[in-house]
Amino acid sequence: MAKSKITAILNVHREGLLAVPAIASIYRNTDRLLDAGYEVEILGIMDRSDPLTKSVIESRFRKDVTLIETDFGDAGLARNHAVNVATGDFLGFLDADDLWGADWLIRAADMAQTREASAIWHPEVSIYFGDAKLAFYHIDMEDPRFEPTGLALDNYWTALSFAAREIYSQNPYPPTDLREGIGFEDWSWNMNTISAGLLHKVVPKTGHAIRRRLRSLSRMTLKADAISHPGDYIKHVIETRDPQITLQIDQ
Amino acid sequence: MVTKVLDASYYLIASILFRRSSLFDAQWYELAYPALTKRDSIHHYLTKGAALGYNPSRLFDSQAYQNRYLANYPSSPVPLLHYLLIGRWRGFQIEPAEPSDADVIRDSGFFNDDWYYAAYPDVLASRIPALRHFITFGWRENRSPGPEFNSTWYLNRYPHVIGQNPLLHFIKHGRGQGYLATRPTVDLDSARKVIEEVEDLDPELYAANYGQDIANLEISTSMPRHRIALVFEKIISRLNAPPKIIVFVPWLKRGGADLLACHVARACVETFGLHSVLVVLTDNDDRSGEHRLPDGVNVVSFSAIAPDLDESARVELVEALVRSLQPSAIINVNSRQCWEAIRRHGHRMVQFARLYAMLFCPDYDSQGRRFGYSYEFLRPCLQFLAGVYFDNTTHLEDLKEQFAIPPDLQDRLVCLLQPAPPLIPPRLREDGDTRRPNILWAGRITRQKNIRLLLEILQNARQFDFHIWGDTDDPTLMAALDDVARSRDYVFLNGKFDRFEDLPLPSYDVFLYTSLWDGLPNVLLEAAACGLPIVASESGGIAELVNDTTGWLVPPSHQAPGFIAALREATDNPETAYLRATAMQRRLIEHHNWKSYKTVLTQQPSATGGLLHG
Repeated sequence: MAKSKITAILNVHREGLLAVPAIASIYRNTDRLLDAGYEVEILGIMDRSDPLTKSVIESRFRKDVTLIETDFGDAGLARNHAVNVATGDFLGFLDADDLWGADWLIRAADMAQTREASAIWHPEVSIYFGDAKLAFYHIDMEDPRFEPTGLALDNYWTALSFAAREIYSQNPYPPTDLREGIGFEDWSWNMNTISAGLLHKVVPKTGHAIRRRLRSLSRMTLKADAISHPGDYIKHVIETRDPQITLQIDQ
Repeated sequence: MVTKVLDASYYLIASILFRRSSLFDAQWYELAYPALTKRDSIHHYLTKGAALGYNPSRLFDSQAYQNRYLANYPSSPVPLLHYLLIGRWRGFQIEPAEPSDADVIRDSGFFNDDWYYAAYPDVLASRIPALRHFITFGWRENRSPGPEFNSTWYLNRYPHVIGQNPLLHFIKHGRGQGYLATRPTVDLDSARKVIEEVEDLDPELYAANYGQDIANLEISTSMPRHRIALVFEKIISRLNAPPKIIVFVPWLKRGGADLLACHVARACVETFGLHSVLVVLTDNDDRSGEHRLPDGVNVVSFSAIAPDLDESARVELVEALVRSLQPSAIINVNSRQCWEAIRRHGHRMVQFARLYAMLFCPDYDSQGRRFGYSYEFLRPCLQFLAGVYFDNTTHLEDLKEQFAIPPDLQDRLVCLLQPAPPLIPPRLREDGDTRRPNILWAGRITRQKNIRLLLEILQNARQFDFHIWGDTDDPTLMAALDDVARSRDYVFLNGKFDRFEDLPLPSYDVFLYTSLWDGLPNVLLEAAACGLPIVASESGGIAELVNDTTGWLVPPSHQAPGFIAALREATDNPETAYLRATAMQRRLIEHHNWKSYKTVLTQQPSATGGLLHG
């Protein structure tokens, strides 16, 4: 089977010097892809980045990387823009202060290529470091323990997903509006994609390292007392539920 | 503390009585009070336990009995002994005791005797019962109660719990806050592998020796297992379809506000269909008035699913339901949790549903100051509310004036006159009827109903027979009424009633209503619909219904003589009483009919449309 083209997308905001390890982890992953015969594209989306961050990104990336500056001030819209620019068959996102485990992209690409039905892929575990220390294990929707309702209250998966480009282009990230109390575009996106009939899957034995900073965007979203926009997610859960399940729970 | 010295005969009698009743449970007592119990639990209860407020079994709450029946005793009788010797023969009520810590642990399902003995053979050898060992010694030695709770891990993970029984902490507090009972079963090799793969890239990882202590790494599984999530899942699992309207109520009792919530639900069902409505009980699971809802309406109760859910969690659940179900509209009928949710989260709730509320009348504290939901929540919440329905205009106008509500927000305040029950034509008392006039008073016996005035009327109006119906939580008011009824043969205290229409209405001539403050009480609509002439206090919105044409409205300044004069006029002039009761029913037909009610509920406020709009 011909190997696909994979686009590694680095979402850059104002990470400054912390972006250096992220870039190194991208190269560690894409080198493996290249070794395995995949075609690779690297894309850096710098959304309202400060001069320090731009300087780090421009100096550390090799010349064949596509760097784009945007002025959205919105992580979701910046991701959507990257999707429009990317030419890969599959896309993988990384935030510029986080790290991919060394074989994340290649294992995700292998899984995605071999599975007939399209899915959104997540690592088995995200290791939080910096201002937090914990291991966050993702749930696979095909795991018997999976319970869809709670996704309306808590996010099950991080934003650093991997999927076919069409999935992202057909399901763009919603905008963030912290003034109206709406944030967590990745959480809303997770719900929207399930409502659209997609599965969120886990790639076993893979992981990311997520840096927690006191002033990170997600912390600011929490501070703004924001929640995700659930769209029609719970309506979808109710309407597509097996009636037997309601019966069993009532009993 | 009083330690009694027992004489042998006293002890013997008590022992026999205790052993013959099921109300002393030695095994339960020893588990409930493991540290203090001596070998003979009956002896301990008689000499020390009773004085300390200890319960002799789960069936008998010593303190409640003491407070209710023994508070004025010069000596300190042992509550259970008093009950067995005296109380039970006098019909005294007993209550079950609060569960002991041992009960809580046993009921939780986390304690497993067999596992405990197998894990700790020294306990088996000691012949101390497993649960008693855990409660007394085991938790202090970091022993686990069963396979599903790991004491050592829990205390390592939540070190602020050290010094407390970790299992009790988990059951009472931790579980509700999403704490884990034991380390989740995950593949730590995956975490180890990731750390090894990336730690060389970032000093924050390798300099911190991040990977050194993987075994004690905090683990989170991505699906939430905290209390709010579990209750939320259960509620969603009970819905067959997403509702179009959610009616939030604190409970569904038999009261006036509960009836108004049922009216709203009925109007929604008629407009949108049976499955369009969800009624949510936010405070407790009292459903004694549920029969007034249309058959088949979906009702969920937070307390039925999780009785010990705290207030903050209930507020969050209200918000989560609105956000995730996104009904066209919600209406709050006296749910504090819903008011609190609108106050805290109204700015985002309005993005998912139109928000409505109902308000009725102020309450007054002992110093005459107004309070209640209108005063606590209207100002911070009005900006988020599409409409607020009042059952009378008086309170609405008072609030506009008091809070200086600007015109654009004033338009959101709507008077929604409540529908009256089906009418029974008034009866004209016949000329030859020589019966003593029968006066009906029915309602909750509370301070609001001006019981002091009622007592004064009862004491000074011997020419009438008074029939008092109602229930109370206030033993002082009840005792005062009881005294009057005992000393006057024309006062009949009948106790509580379930439904107004079940009272022997044809035997009454006039309905007397007394109150210190009010909205427009439903009982007046019920009395008017039954054709009874009404004599009522002029308070709150009552003047909007009762006036010199439709009944007798007595200003507060007239006090008891004014009411007695009105009662005399109503009973001495049957023709006038009949005409006024008939005029009252015309008013009900014109203003308190179902069609007008639904029209207002659909069309007003005009800017956004009403609850039933769209």
